[in-house]
Amino acid sequence: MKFIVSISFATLLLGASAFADDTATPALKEAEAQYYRIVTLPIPEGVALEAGALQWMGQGRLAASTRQGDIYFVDHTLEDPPAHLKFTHFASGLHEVLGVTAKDGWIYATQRGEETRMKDLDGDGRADVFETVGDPWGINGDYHEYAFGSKFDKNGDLWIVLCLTGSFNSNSPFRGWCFRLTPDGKWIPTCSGIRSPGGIGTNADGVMFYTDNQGPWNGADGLKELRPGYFMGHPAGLKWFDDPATKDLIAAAGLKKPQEPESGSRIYKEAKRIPDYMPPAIMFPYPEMGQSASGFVADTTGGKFGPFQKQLFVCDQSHSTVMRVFLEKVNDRYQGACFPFRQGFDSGNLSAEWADDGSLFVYGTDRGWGARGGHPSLCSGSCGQVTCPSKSTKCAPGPTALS
Amino acid sequence: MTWRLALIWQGAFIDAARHRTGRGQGFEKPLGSNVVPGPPGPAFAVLDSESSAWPKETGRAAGWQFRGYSLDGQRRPTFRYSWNDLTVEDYPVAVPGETDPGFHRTVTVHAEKPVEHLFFRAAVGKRIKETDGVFAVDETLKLKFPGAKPIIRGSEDKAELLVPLTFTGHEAKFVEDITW
Repeated sequence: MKFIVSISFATLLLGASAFADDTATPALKEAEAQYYRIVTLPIPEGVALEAGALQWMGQGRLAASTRQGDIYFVDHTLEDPPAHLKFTHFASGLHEVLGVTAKDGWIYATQRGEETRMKDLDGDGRADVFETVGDPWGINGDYHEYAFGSKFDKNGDLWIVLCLTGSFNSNSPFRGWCFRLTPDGKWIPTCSGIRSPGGIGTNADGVMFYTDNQGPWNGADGLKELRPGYFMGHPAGLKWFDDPATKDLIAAAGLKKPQEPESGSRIYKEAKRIPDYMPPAIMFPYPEMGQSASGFVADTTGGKFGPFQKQLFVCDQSHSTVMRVFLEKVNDRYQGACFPFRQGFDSGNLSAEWADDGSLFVYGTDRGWGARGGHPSLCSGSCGQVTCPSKSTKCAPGPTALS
Repeated sequence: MTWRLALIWQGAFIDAARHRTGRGQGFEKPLGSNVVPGPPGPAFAVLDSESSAWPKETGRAAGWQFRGYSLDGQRRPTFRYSWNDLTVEDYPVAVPGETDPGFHRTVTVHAEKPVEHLFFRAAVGKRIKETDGVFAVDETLKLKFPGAKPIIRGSEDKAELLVPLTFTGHEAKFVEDITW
């Protein structure tokens, strides 16, 4: 998610579609559509389905969390055309849910202020018990203090990345940090140096990554590995190594305060100088590839989605695109390349989720940030479904994919 | 974080529009009227004696933790929070009324071992006066505690209203009726 520092800039956005001008030619869009078709799911009147996160529940059912604090179940999502969608309002009154997953009959939601799990006990389709799984970090009401939650990883851990208070400061405990929740309920401070995450998830091998957005200490949007103990590059959150309220928890996790990076230096120099500095695996050329890297998924469909197995599909919120990322590990660090993949979504893509037939659900919002295709209004979320043209034919990369 | 009734008011709840049309920056005050702040600091304390000062320490560092909530058939919340080994269920139900709208609040404290000298601080004001079991706080709030025996005491230049809690087994319970 893009951070913009001043109110005047925010005002500018209201009329500034230039922020996310669509430069693709109609021929390019047509070519992409030949290989990966977008099906837009109609959102019923009265449902403000602004992007938060998605969880595939199986049997055509998707759980969708929203920035306004709701969780909906959406049924019959794989019908084409999607003529019988059914929305069930499972939960409301939550705080900007940017992570949703399911485990042991509970729906887990990452809210700004806490990780919560909820359940419908009386069978009326709505959650009626909400348990605080944990809230080891702080919030102060600043709009920028987002919290993005992962799915449970191969160890059963859930990871949460916490935006700074704005671009430069960490004014509440652990802003600019990553936490892990272990299966036995412990919260472990895991990485420092985070600026403004747009999404979190694993690569195809189950290694946790996140996207961090362009701004101070991040010359361009990046995709970074969240390796426990590592520093991701922005020094504002390092103060919590020394704060009486947080230092014990950090010390118990075995983390040591890294050297601060030098302003005006270069990432590769700082990565060499500071052993615990984690450089980005990918830096998305800004603004050619995008301006707000957000959520992503690894292609674990076993070929159902085409020839890009084990690669990542990374959303961009301001360009309303899905990018493709190839990763490799060299000398203990990930590196790789990014490619345009698919554009033309209705709103700023924030997250993506696989259905078990290999369809990719993409879901977005343009509220507060300019986005291509978006409608600068209240309920501008959109939902799309990208499918291969034919399951029996192996998909070939579209002409834009390698450009 | 403080697990207490921080503000109560009547009428409209809040205008969230600013948080749903832009990035959500800014803070909103209650939209209604008759806004009354609750006592600051922790709502519960163990006091060595009835003259011991009410502690100021609260939040995570003092052992407070939010635990979540459940919704009843009308989707009214019972909040759960804990203070060290105590777990609290707090069920405030809004009571409509032309002349005296308010809250009927049921608070249940659970503990493995009964806790002695546990108090709930219901109010802090300049002046607290009891008339037939109704405690008037600064002529703003009227509080009733059916079945309990609250204590009015002076504290520095203010008056405090404390409700002593008595355990029956693993549970201590009280009801607070708030009108204003």
